[in-house]
Order: sequence, then structure tokens, then C-alpha cells
Amino acid sequence: MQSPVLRSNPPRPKRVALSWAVLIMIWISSLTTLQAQDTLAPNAKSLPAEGSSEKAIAEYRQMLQDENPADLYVLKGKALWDQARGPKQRALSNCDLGLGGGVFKGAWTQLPRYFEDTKSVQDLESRLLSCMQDIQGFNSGELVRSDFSNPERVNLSLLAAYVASESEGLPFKVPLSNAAELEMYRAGKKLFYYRAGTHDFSCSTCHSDDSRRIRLQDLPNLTTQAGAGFAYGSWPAYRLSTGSVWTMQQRLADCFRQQRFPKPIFASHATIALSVYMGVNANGAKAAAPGLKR
Amino acid sequence: MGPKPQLLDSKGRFMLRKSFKPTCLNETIKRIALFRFFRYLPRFPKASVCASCFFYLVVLSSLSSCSQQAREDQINLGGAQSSIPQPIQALIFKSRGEPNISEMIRDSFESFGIADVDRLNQDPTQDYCSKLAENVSAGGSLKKTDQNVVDSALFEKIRIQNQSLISFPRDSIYFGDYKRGESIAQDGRGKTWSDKADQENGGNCYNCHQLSKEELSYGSLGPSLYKYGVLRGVIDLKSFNELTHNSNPSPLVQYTWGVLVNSKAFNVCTVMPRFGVPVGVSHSEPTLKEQQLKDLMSLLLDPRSPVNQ
Repeated sequence: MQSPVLRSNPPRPKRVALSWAVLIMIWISSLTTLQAQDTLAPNAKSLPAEGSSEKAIAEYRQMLQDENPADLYVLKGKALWDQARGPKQRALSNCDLGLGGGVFKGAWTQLPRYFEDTKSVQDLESRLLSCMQDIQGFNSGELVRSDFSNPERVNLSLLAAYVASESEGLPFKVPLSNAAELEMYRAGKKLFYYRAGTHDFSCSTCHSDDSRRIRLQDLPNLTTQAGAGFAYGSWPAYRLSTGSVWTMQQRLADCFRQQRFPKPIFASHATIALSVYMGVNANGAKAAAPGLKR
Repeated sequence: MGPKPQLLDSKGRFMLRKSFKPTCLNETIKRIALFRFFRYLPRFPKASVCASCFFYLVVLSSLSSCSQQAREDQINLGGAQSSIPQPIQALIFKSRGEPNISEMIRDSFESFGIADVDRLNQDPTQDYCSKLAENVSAGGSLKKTDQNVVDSALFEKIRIQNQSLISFPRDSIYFGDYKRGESIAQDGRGKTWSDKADQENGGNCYNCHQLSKEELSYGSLGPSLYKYGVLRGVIDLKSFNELTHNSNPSPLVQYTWGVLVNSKAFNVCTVMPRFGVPVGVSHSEPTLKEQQLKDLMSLLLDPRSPVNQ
């Protein structure tokens, strides 16, 4: 778009060129200072602004900030990524997470997204599952049917923590660029408000208002950018209460359990649709995974 | 099977460009033309710097508004405009843009423990309130397709249907033991897939309500019930005895019992569960037994209860 404008410069090339140069320099310097500010205080921004118990927990997190146990799991995940594994004894190196084979940075902040090869919208975990199947030869059906404690499923969580950690501090840009993604977003929204079960609960029962609590646990408002960014943007996370890394899939499964719903199937469309809904709502907020949770 | 059907709208055009092109790109071009007018005005170096500055501002601002608008356009695209790529995930949409998620739900959940997939079939109350909540979230701008959602006749029909499910104790005794009530209020277990069918369920009360002054770990999804009885005139044992010994339950007793048994008879779409009636199309066992409900009545109204201290 700039070239036609540049071509039709007024007949004073030196002065105009000088002024352009000055402007470009100012522009570039302003960009770099902005970036510098972002890198200086990424964690401060990811903390919640308000909330009673959340304040205490935030303080607690601050103390653990430099030593989030999740970092150890990220290292494990990185090692797993490079390791030749599975029936085919191959590494995941070329797994395409949406930005091309083996590209990590920013990949997670643009998930879930539509993938041409699988003809479906996939979140981080289901995409990793596809890669484990296609590249390494794992039986994805078997993994879907197994439990979160299954060793390969634990490995999948570690891989997810590693991939997500590579996007730390980057803003979410979950795409809505085609009909499949749009439909998943709309389905996710509908599911978010879907009341059922013995207690008439939906996700929105607890997660559509600011500053609500269950007991002392603050509930993020997932309909807002701040709430969705804080919640969606910090899983996978290390959970202090379980002493392990949980992915969003596991977080959702336990939400559904407490919602008195039947069990969501791992990487099922409903779970991915909800992630699209949360991810799009979080767009613009900064990724802070792997997080540290109660 | 087209190679990239998901990028096309119903007329076969690229969706992103369709929403991007006619509105904000034109605007950008217009602004650039405007700038060209300005940039021939100055004949002084300082003014030319200013003009460049102005150009930057104009183009950057219009581009950012473009991307913003493109995003909004994508979100606001109606179902009529979205084509269904083949094959796609198990989603079938009705013609007027209402996503039909029943198939997706059926494929995504499995019965586990006591939590059967039947629980996902909505009864009229759940169906009505889901649509209402989703609609309110959209800023309350009701579309034609959603008119039945705020149908006040339907609202009243659902409320009365819930009211008809409330049964009063056969022995006409509405009260039990507030101490047991307190432990039921503390207990949040029951009805999840990791619970047992024969276990006694909890009432989950503290998850959402403040009750006694001592318990600081209470939720805020429901109103505070601290001093529930005192604030309603049950100030001493004498007035409490009048409540318990009256053969005709007072309005206060009827109301409190009713809300505990079936909250939806009073406020159709309240977040509070229906504790004393079968819920959903599968007609599961009520979460709380009659005796437990009586214990909760005492917790709320007995002047000796921690709630009223």
C-alpha cells in the first residue's frame, strides 16, 4: 500500500526523504520501547486486578514466581519433544501447530484453529494428539479412551506445557477466519450457557459475572477479556492441590464433573468448542502459561 | 470435496475479504486521497514533516479500525452467511443461524459412574433458562427466532409446573435439627460422577451463601442468609414455637420450604438448584431427602442455629 504513495512524492526529494527517515526512526524507537516495557513486566500484567482471596493467592504466586514447579515440567516436555518415541520411533520436531512444522512461538496463542489435514478445529491437546498419531504412530483412539493418569497422556500434558510456555507474554489471537472456526465459537458459546444435569448448572452459572466466589475461590468471568485471558491464558498450569500439571482439557473435565454433567470425552468437539469460545474472548490478553493454580 | 471450502461464504467468496473489502478498505483509500490533497498544500519543509506525520496517523488509525471491524464482522456473521464445510466436525446448523449443539453434545460425553448421559437432555426449565441467559449475554437484543424465549406466558407456565412439584411433609412437620442442617450446608458432595448413588448428598449451601458468622469460607453466588430467621421476625424460642406448632404453616415456612424444595417455582431461572424434586428428563432422585430439608429449615429459622446468632 505504501509504494504508490512513495512513487508520487512531491518534487523536493531530499527534504521529504529526510523527514520520512526521521519519522520512521521515531516510529521504530517507539515500537522497541513498547516491547521493552512488555518484557520488563509480563508477570505483573498477568495477575488479576482484584478479588479477595485472589489477592492472597497472587501474593503466594509472586513468592513462587521464580520457582513455579511447572518450569520443571516444561523442561521435561521439551526433552520429550526432541526424543524419538512411539511405535515409529520418531521425534515430534515437524509437528505443525498452526504456524508451520516445528514453529512454537505464538502457536499456542492462535489455538484452537482449523487444520486442513485433519479437517477440524483443534486445540493444543488434540493437535498434539494428531501429531503423536501421525508422526510417532501412537494409537490416538486408545489415548482418548484412557485416563489422564495414563503415562502417555501425562506426556501429552508435559508437551502441552512446553508448547504453551514458548508463547508466554504474547497476546492471544485465536482466529475466527473461516466457517469451521466460527461455528465452533458459536457452538462453544451455546454450550457455555447450556443448563442441564441434576443441579441445572451451566458454565455461565459461575463464570458470567465479575467478583463471584465458590467458597473462597474467585471465579473468573469468562465472558470478558480479562477473565477469559486470566483463565484460558494460564492453562496448562501446575496445580498445587494435585501436585501435577493440568491442561485445559483436564480443567474442563473437572469443571464438568462439578457441574454434575457426564464425563466429557478427551479432545471431544464440545471441549474444543468451549476452548474456542474462551480463547476468542481472551483475544488481546497475554498468555501466561504455564500458570500456577490453587 | 473442495480443497478449502471453509474459507468461502455461501456465494463462494472469501469470507474475510468479503467483510473487509467494501467497508473499511474503501475508507482507507478515501483517507489516502484526502491526504494527497493536503500534501500538495505545504511548500515549507516543516509543513512537509507535519504532512508525513498526518499520513502516518491516518493510515495507521484506519488500518487498526479495519482489523477491529473485520474481527467484529467475523463474530457477527449470521448463520445464513456461513457455509458448512464438508466434511466438518459434527455440527449441524439450522438455517437461521442457531447452532444445533445436541449432536455435538451427544458425541462429546459419556456416561460415567452415576452421571448418565441422560443428564444432558434438558427439561423445559433448563432449555428456557439456557436460551434466556445466552440472549441476555448478547445485550438483550432479541432476535425474531428467540421470541419464545421471553414469552411471559411460557415463563409462567414453567414456573407453575415447578410449583406443582413441591410437596409438603406428610406429617406436617417442617423442622429438624439445625446441627445436622449445618453439616448438610457444609457438605458439597453428591451427584458427581465420582460420587456413589447410595450416599447421602450435601446441600452445597456454603458454596454460594453466607450462613453462620463463624464460617468465613462462603461463596457469593447467592445472597447472604446470615440471620435469615431473625430478620424475618423469628427472634426468640417463643416465636419459633409458634411457627413449629402451628398446624397451618405460615407464609414464611411455606416460602422457605418451597425455595429449598424447588427454587424454580419462585424464580424460574435462578442459579440455585432444585434440591427436593427430581430434575431433568431422566427424573433422577432428588438431591436432598425430606429429613435433610427439615434440618436445613431449622438451620435457617431456629433462633438457636448459628445462622441466627
